[in-house]
Amino acid sequence: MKAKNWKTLLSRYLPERILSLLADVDASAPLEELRLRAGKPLQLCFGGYERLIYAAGGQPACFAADCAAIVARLCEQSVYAWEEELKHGFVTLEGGVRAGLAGRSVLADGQLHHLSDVTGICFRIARACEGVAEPLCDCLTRADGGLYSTLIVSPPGCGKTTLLRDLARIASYGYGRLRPMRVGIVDTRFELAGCVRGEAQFDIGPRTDVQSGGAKTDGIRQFIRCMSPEVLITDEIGDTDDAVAVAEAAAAGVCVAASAHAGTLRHLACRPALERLLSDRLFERFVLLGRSRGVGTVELVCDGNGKKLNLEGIRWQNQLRS
Amino acid sequence: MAKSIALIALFFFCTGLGMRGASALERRAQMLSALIGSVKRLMTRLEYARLPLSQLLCTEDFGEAGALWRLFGEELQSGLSPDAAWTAAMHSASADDRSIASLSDADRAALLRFASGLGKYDVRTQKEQAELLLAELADSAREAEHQYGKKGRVYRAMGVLSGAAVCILLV
Repeated sequence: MKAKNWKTLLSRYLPERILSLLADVDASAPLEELRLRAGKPLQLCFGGYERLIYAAGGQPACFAADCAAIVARLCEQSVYAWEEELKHGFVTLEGGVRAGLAGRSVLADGQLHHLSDVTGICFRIARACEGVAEPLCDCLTRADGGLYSTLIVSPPGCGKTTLLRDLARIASYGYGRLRPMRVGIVDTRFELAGCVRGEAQFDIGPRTDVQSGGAKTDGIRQFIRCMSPEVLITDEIGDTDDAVAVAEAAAAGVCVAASAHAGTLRHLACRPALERLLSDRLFERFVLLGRSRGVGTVELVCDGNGKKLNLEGIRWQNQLRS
Repeated sequence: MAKSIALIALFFFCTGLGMRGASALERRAQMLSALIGSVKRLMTRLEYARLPLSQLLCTEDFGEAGALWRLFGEELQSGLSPDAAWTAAMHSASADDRSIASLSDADRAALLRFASGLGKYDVRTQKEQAELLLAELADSAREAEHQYGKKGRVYRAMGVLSGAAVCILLV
């Protein structure tokens, strides 16, 4: 998959005026996020630093009309086609770019019906970072070449999704002792595979099926019933329903690789939704990510009993920034 | 001899005028019926395929009214807003297709209202708008059928009779 720079990816969605403000920004700079807010400057977040861009005379760079025009372009003038995504406040775009939206929630029958008056847009540029899971492969591979059920833990923004995505890829292709397996990705927020109209925007391997959107529990159960995956990969176990579905998958003999927000493994145990998964020892490996040596640093790997595994000989570094 | 040929030509000319008037009424009824079918198909595809509008319009087969929808899709792809794209598509299609040219101003206004809102709402709202349009088109189709039934025969008969009358007068 040929990588495009962020300017090429975003140019079709941004109005001319905003593109002209970005003209002097290096297209090859490692942009992570471009944030537009009505009546505010543009905010560009790079790896480790940020930049605010105002219009001439310190005027705001973006207005509500710009946000409305961008949303129309994001949806290709077809709101119905992105109805579910818009309800959840994001649109997944080509190249794995994700546009998060902030505005006014309109309710119908007590439920979120749609997002109106969008005044904040955050373009998040995803990068595949192929190979980040490879150093972990030995720790996560069983003697029979299968994958241990693994929970990746970190605070937000430390590379859980990137690691999971690469884990899906190497499990699908096979790597070292890890044999090639049928992989199912339950991607409720279109982040892992970043599917746009069914087409994954990242290399997720030749033996990988993706279920995008919908409820995680339904996706997991459907995969187990219909696709017989050997490895099931899903992002962010957030509530008890997610945990129950993951437990069902593990009980069905499917290896599960998932992620959860927590600062430390001890904090993980404090999350009621994950209590059962931990007490039943459904996960055989825990990987803790942090930022001690940059985003994506593997701080700790331990087995299902909490025993630290030896990381010696594995080159942990700031891989997600490379 | 030349006079006979001129009289026959005059007779066929008048008859042709009458037939043309009747055909225009028939074409409008047929086009309205085709448009009703195409709007129903569009809504079904819109709900199940969830493709962007321009792609949906350019790739799906919308039957007799397909040319109009395809032109609309192409105009949308060129970056026009839905109402401008529809106006341009209707203009081009009317020049090429007499069935579309036969639509009344009221038919065109109803279609423009619907097309202007296409792609701006969720599926449920799109379907509600389509139902409104379908009701309007169904009324227009009934009225067009009625007009054709009532006036179509009159136009044809008047064409033949006026042709004959002119010929008799000239003889």
